[in-house]
Amino acid sequence: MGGFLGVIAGGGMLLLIGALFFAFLRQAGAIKSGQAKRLGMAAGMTLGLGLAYWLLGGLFYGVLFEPVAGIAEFNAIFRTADLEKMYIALENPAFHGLFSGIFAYLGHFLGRILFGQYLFAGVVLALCMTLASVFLLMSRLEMILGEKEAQNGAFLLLCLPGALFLFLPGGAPLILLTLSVVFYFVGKKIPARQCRIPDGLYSWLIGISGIFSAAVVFGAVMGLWS
Amino acid sequence: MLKIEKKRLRTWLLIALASLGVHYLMLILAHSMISGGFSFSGLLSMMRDRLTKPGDAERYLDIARNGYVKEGENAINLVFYPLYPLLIRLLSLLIGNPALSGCIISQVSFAVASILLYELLLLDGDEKKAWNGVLLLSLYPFSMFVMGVFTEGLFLLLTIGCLYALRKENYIAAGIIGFFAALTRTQGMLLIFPAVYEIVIRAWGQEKRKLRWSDSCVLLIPLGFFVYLGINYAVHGNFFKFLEYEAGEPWYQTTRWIGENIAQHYDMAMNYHGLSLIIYWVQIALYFIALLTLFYGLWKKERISVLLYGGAYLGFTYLSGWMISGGRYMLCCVPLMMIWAGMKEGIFKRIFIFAMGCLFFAYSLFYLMGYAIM
Repeated sequence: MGGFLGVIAGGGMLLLIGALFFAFLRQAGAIKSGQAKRLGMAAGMTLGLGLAYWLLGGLFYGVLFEPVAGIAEFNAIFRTADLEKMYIALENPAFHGLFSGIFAYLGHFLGRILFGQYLFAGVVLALCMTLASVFLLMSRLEMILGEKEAQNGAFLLLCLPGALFLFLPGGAPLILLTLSVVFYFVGKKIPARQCRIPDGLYSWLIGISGIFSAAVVFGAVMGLWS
Repeated sequence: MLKIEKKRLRTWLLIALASLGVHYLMLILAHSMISGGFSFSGLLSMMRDRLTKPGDAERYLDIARNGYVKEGENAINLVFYPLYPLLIRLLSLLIGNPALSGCIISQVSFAVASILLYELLLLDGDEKKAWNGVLLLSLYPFSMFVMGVFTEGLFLLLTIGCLYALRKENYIAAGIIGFFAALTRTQGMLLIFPAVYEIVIRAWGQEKRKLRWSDSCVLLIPLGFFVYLGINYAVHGNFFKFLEYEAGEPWYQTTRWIGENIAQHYDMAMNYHGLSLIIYWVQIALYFIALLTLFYGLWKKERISVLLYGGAYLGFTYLSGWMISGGRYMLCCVPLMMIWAGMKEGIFKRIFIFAMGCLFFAYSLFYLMGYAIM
């Protein structure tokens, strides 16, 4: 429980710093109101779904292994072979893949700023990268498909099976960020078009994704994926 | 014009009397309940024992009498900043009693701080909000420290003074007051954040104001801290000697990530039941209440520079490992009182104020009874 409180406390402070910085950018006129709304939406989606995945992992872990006290120890909850390597690499960075290696070094650097909290820094970095990716994707998709479809698309992306790994330390958040940046600039050439997913179908997609995503989370908790 | 001034002076006097009156009422009530009856000499004796001797009080008085020393058991007094003991020394030259001087400085500072808080809140709100701020500052559960030989009263005065000067765009005054705040407590140098923010936002924001030479006066704020480092060097030949002393007995203070410290508070609360409700759970609760308050302030569009100071103060305070005085330290996180003062009128606000009053009495009583509140 103490660890859980600690993570909420530390995460809350970083969230406050982010929110104050965002407020500064708005007040300085660096962010227009449309961008601010998009950023707020992206932050809500990313943090909300990240928390959902974390809690789901804690639920599987709590039922299958130990009581809920372990929920803050996400390195104990999510235990694929790649994740285990990344947890070690955050403290002692080494290249074992381009994106994973870069992520490990960045996470290590952030961990040193956060007084040696390397695992926590890894999660924070993953969340920041995913948030930035979602924001960039939404910005470009809004111009191509419209605001509602952009939001739906971004949300669906974060619900897809395997999206769990966008919220954990590893190469996945950095890969998504890289692709998002490329799409943001290349996507300028894509003309606007009509593409409406009916709300009913969209809801089914989200629901079915949820089932598969939960299966992926279960596998990560059991250490099945390698 | 004279009538307006008289009315203002009357209001200020009323604020000073009310803010100190709340504390004296608490002292009289607590003394009566502890002793089973009231006696003036008993009250004075309790005040002397509990406001001028426990915790850091003796150390401030020792610095006031003897200054910083290089050797001996009082060498560790170097960890305490110099302004408050210097003022005690100066006043005691007049009245001859350092302990009484310390109490007078604290209480007068607190009274003036309350007046300044009123004026500051009046700039962006109405009289009701301003009076609420004064009330909440007085009823903060650990505000009894403003009555004794502690830095809280003086630091509150300097902090609120600096924020007021920033709000009035008087950056020369803000720099000077902030300089003295940084000479009173480490957290004083955090006033540089709201100061720089106000200047930057005026230059980059809608106002597009040109920078003036007087804007650079806010750089005096961190200078106070450098003066303190200079004192470290002058006494011990090491700019950061205070860090060595803080890390040793009796404080064992280190700098660790907030999450680690909160987790440690939880462990201590579970293992030391006698201290859990007066130190550790209090510190945990205060952190989350403060964090939520700052987010609430963001939502209610409170002044960003004030929120920035609140966030910096909260974060800096809770980076301290082995902290046991969190309740006292957070008294000086003035943005919290400013945000609470602006809460919408309703049942929640009334419950909040009532609870503050109850907790103010409870923790003051525990302190006066000798419990480990420090």
